[in-house]
Amino acid sequence: MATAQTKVRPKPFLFPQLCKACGRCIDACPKHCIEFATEIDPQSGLTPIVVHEDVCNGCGLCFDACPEPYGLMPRTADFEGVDMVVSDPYTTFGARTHGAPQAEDIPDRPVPLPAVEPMVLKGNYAAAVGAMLAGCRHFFGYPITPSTEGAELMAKVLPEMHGVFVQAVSEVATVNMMYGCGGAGLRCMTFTSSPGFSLMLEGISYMVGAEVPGVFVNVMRGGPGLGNIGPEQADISLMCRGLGHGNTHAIVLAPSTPQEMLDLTMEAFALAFRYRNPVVIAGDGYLGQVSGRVTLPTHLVQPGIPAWAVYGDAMHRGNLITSIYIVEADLELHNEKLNRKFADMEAAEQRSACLECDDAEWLVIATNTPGRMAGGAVQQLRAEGVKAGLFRPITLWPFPVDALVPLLERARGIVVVEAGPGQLEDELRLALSKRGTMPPPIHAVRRHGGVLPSLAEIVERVRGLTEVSHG
Amino acid sequence: MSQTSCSLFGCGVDDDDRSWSMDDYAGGLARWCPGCGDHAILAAVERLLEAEQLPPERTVFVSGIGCASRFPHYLKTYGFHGIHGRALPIATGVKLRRPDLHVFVVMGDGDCTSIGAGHWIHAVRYNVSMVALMLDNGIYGLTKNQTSPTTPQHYASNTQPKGSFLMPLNPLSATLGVSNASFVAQTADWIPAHLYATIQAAYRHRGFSFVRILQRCPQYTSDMFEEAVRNPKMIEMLVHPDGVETPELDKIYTQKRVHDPRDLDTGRHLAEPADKIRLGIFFRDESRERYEELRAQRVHTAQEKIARLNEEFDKYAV
Repeated sequence: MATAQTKVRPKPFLFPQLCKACGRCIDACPKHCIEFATEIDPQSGLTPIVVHEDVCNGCGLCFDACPEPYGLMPRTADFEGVDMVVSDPYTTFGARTHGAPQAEDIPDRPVPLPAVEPMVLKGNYAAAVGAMLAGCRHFFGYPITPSTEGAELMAKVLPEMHGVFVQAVSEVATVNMMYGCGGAGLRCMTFTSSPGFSLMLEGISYMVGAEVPGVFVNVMRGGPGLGNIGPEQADISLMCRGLGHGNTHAIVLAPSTPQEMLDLTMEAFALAFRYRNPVVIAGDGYLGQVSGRVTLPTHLVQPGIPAWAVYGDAMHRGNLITSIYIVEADLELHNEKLNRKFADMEAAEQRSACLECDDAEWLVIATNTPGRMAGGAVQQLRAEGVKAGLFRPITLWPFPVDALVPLLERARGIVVVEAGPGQLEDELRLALSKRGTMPPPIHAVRRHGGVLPSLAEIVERVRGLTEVSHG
Repeated sequence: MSQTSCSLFGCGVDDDDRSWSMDDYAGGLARWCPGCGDHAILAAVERLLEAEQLPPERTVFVSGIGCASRFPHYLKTYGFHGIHGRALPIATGVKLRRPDLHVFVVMGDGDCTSIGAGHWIHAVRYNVSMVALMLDNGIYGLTKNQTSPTTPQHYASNTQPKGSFLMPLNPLSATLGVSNASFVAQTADWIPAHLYATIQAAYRHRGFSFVRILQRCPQYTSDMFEEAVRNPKMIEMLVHPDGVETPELDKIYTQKRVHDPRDLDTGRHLAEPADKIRLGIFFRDESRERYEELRAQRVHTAQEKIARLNEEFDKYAV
């Protein structure tokens, strides 16, 4: 008599560290013998499922339900005593290999410029000239008022200088062309205005992440939305606090005159390459359009090639531009590196200008075109005997708080003048708060929607404060 | 129009006996440059609204950014002045939720074929019923003279001062090449009768109607169609009983070609650049699947919705 053959069906087996805790097996199990564990698996960081084998009849439905390639599977003798450690794919597959030689920096070279008579240039042109003198031969842009003249000058000149001008199909295309060009270690820039700058933010975040330099001239206009083409300073928060997603910062330079449009754009390229980070020039619609006297610098820059560039030659073959760090710990390290870089910028790159600040009791803080209005107002107030001074931040991020704090001892009040909803004041307050400095009362003169604060408004505001404090 | 959806949306006045005159549509003095083609197109559209007696509150004009996008400001219908390049997604959003509205989209060439190109391709594929007017003057006019994708080759602008490098993009071929295209036509701002007839055909088509309107920018591209404006023999009218017919123009525009708009292959061939400018309907097919119908839902009762939600939440019950 033959022995009755009983088929032994294998029970499920799982490496808990490979379970993604989706719960499909729980739904599939007719015996209700699978449930979520109560402890988090230290390797996966998830709560895997557990199988109560005493109830399990080995039906195998959970094998089909499990979507993981190395998830639930029939238990065999092979698994007995095996432990599995989840390893970093980078270590599994090894480091990226290349046989390229170690690339070396080819440094920039200053080239003396013959002295020329001062010129009269509108702000947008001045920034374009500054970029060319800084060795920028690559321009990508999309038309948007009130910034387009900068692109138009580049369109005329760059093709004659063995350069590249591309009118991209959109600001999204623009920023990605810059990502590519900057990644090659080349100096590139764009001109845009607020709505266009909004569109570029995703790319800027990638450039910060991948440490790619590039210069963005944002000639701010009235917003939100389509707004208008008048001057406004309502992108300050965006540029200082909101450059796309993730941990991002960029030096934000705020010129007040066409001369500064030129000088700061030149400087922006140096900073962008020094820190391997985008730099933003924050202009305003009035500054972009207004003409002013501009003197050229004594030197122009012949750009070098940084060692990290994906330059397209044998020496740079080992380089890779990327902002992806799959392993969380690696991304944390990368962010800490970025944070150190941001801290270096905050320590070394604060810039500001002062007018009559030394004995000022009333400190006016303004930048861009409102900074010029405020300068006039301070002079008028001084003539009236009011001890007013102008503190003009030239970097909005990092905010030049080191230079400001000593001035606050004597100050009885601060008046922040801006063509916007108070974003400059927010930067001021945040910087002071981080320093633990208690400021004197902060007052504001604000206009919106493309309207600039007038000299008379500023004078009246400060005068009103002095009268109140006397009375 | 069914009673259900009308009461659902609270319009309630659908079957009234109101009649509409031009004054009910024309709003304000248009601030385009004198001689701008936009004026002619606005006039044709106002005439259409009156002829079709479209209630102003049931008609929506959506635009992007550019000179052409001032359009909704000059009409007393509903208007939506949107984002540069994004007029089509905005209009899609309007139409999918309010299929009872008559939706018109007004875009320029930069708006539609440059920054909005991705949206344009997919709007054609979605085939949501609306009229898309692409006002093509071959230049960025509002930002003052920059090259657009449809700028003729070698045409100098501020951003390509030695002339446009690339062959211009052909919006007709591009649209006809997209899967599920259902209506593609071309007309011109200087032939009002044809302009009107084409926009009317586009309006009466069920599906996504794409109309490219050749127009001149008096400031920067005033001479772009000079030869064709002066010499009607440069124009070839595509005619067919199912297409656009303008018998009043027969004596002027003698160059005609019979083209059945159902014939996609010939339509594509005719859309290629030729020595003549072809006006009329290149392709029309009402049987193409429309997104709003594919995704149409019946109205659910409150009890049904609650039951459905409970069913979903039960999955997560502990």
